[in-house]
Amino acid sequence: MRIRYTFRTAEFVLLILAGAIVIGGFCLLSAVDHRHIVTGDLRYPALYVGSTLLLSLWMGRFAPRSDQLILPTVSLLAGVGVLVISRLDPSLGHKQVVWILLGETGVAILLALPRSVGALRLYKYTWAFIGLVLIIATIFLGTDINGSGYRRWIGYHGIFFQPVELLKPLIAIFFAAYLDEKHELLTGARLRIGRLRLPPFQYLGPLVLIWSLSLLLLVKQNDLGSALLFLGIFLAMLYIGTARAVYPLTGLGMFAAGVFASFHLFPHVRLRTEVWLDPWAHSTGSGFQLVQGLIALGAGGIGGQGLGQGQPLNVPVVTTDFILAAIGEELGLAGIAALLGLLLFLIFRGMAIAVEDPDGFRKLLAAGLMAILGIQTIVIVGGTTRLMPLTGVPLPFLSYGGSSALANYLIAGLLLKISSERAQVQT
Amino acid sequence: MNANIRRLGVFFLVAFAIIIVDLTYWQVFDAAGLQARADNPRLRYAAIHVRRGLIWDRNGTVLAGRSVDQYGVVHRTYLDPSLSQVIGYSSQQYGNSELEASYNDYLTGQKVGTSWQAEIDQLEHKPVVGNNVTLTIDDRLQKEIANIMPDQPSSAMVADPRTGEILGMVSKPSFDAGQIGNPSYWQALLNNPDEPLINRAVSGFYPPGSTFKVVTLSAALDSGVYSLDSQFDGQQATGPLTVQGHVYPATINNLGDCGGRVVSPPISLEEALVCSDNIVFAQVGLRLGSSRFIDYAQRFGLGSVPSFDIPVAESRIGPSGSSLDPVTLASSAFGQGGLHVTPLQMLLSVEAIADEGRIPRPVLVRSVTAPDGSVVQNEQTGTLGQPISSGAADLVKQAMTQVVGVGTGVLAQVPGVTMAGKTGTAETGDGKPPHAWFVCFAPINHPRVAVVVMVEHGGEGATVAAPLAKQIVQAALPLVPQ
Repeated sequence: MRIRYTFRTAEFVLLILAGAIVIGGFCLLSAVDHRHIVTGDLRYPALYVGSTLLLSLWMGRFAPRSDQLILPTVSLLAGVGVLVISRLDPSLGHKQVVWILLGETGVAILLALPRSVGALRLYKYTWAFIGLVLIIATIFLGTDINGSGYRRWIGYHGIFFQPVELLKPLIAIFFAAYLDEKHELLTGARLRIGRLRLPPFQYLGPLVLIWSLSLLLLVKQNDLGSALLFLGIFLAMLYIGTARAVYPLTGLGMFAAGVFASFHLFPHVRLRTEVWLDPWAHSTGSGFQLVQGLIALGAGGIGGQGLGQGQPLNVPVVTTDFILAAIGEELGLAGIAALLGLLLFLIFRGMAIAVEDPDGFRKLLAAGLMAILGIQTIVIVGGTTRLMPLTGVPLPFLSYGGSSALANYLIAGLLLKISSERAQVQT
Repeated sequence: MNANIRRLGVFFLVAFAIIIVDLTYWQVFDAAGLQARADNPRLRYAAIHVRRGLIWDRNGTVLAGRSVDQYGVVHRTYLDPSLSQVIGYSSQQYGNSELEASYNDYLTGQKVGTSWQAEIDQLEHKPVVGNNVTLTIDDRLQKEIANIMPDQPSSAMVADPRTGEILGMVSKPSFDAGQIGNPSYWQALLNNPDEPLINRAVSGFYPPGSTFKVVTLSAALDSGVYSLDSQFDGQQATGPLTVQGHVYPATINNLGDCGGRVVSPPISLEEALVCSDNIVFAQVGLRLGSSRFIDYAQRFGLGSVPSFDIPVAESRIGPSGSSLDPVTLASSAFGQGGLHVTPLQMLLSVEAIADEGRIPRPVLVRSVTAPDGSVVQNEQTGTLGQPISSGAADLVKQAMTQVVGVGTGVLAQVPGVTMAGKTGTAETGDGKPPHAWFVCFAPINHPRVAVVVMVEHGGEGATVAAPLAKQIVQAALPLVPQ
């Protein structure tokens, strides 16, 4: 049998460009730290850049027709993430490279699997079930590794995993399958009360499910960010899948009611709102992180202090949730704008793939996965810049975090596979 | 479905745009405000890493230096403890004081001429190197004054009346600004009842005693109410003098010991200054009247703060300031009453006599120079005002010359130098010995040095302060060019 191979030229060239930017950044960082470039500092970034090129070569064999812009965009984002994390804590930078390599391996395996993305829909309840079990298991068996007072990790022998990260793509798969299957029912049927047309409640089981899940996260885990994220993903996908604004509006109303109730029931939700409204009054206590983050952003200005030349370590949790503050201080508004531009480009690319795909499930899945990236970015960046109350979620591809990196690469892998299959349908 | 995906895309586009606008607010428009916040740790980091500018004396001797430790943290070093109340201190715990405070922006390089090199250095995050400050102080003289002055609360200043430059300024007790990082040393300074942290020369507050007769005489002659020859006979010269029931006794006419001489009435106004006759000056004050007396006192600088490079206290005519009752007026005319002045104020007053009636602006900083040697700020000389005509100043100078020649100031005489001066013995009314004062300038033809000496509760100006002034003039004259 003759093996068909396609060299993905555009992707490969762009990956070399992205790699040059990342390696260049590491050279700069090394020069700032040691006054000259220490080759040892370039080992991990070189490994990382090499792995992206290998993945491209691998895709020439197993997904030759998949989109060629996704991997370079993702690789540049993740590479800059590794760069900034290494500047803050070199050992964390090394770990992040290892996590990314695992994520890339996952992508390679996913693309090489003979089964199509469509097969995922057959197990939709399995995915939802796994997700719920993970969350409940975390609540009861989890570990509190950072002293937050909440058990959000599941660990075994020193390796910890944050199930809520994996839940994001799982939930997107489940919703895409569910909404695709119930599409006719959800858009057609109506419950009429007088002149009022209400959605058919009997089919809205998942909405109730997600609403409960969000509140469970909120109350049991104090994880307002993830709660907001799941709800946002669900509403966005519901909106795409049913073309009716009434669903997202109903969901939003229910969530608002939930938040309002929690505001009165739970002191930590109230405190968080107060800190959001006036962080300066809490600048030595619960508003310390937010205020220090804003000061770091201000220190960066338009052009930034330069890599390795600011003092972002004054901001608590700067390697994960608050990495935007470090980026803002050292790379400036220009750097943030470039990275947010890359994220937006990735989201638009994914949405374009969704729009062009004739299959309902793949369309919904691709759009839903992009909604994850978009909403997650808005939630954490908006929280850091005081557009909304601060809720800790990672900045996609940029924050340090193994679970988050794996989940993001799973999202990218699914998107690549969708684009690959669509291309096969067309030929 | 596709339309909704596109709408979702538009939603993300708008949301990201709002985020960028918000970031622009924090990173551009509010950036300066955020950086200035006291809880910005970058400020402290910058403060301990800035290469604080050097402070030199007028001959280039280093007075305040710096050393950089292995962590890049800059430490301040002070080389002349007698200048601790002039240069002050720069401390992480206690902030900055005196020149270290008033020239902080220059010393930390915040006020610099815009040069490309400075911009590039900032871009490269090179440590900020502050500007260097050259003082008018001559450290050779400074050290001599510190040796001459007794180890008790006292102060002395030397100025060049032609320029207003302060050549030396000593306030005792002093402290070592290099040691204040030590908490127990700092606590001891705070607990010391003699308040070493205060610069007595510019912030000490004393009744001027008879040194103020220089001002009263200036007013009397400049206003034309009196001449140096105006005669005072009998009780006019000796007292007692009764003003609204208050009796000024004959014991304060000082005619019995006028530089070793016994002087008898009638005496001229000049002789009244030479012998420091309080009875005569009380009458001069009453005749000048409250408003004229206050007017001249204000022209000489009382009631206002002279512009200076370090903080200065305001000298005051009295508690009210508006009008003096006859008893207060009569007492003020010979330097008691409600008068409270700084030694700097008396120095400026005699500088006016030395410099044809003009009060030069006191100057402590000769120049501020960038690390590359370029001048950032030149010496800020000028005139604070002209309280009296040059003719009146000449007459006062003539009388003051007699004070040192044959009067109460004879112990200040320097062989070979003709000097003009005035003693002061200021009663404090608390049972302690009086403050001893002496003001003078020399040589009289082209004065190069003006001196004020003040010893708190030191006793007689004639016997305590005048000999100190003599030594200071002797030390200063060779160091000041013609």
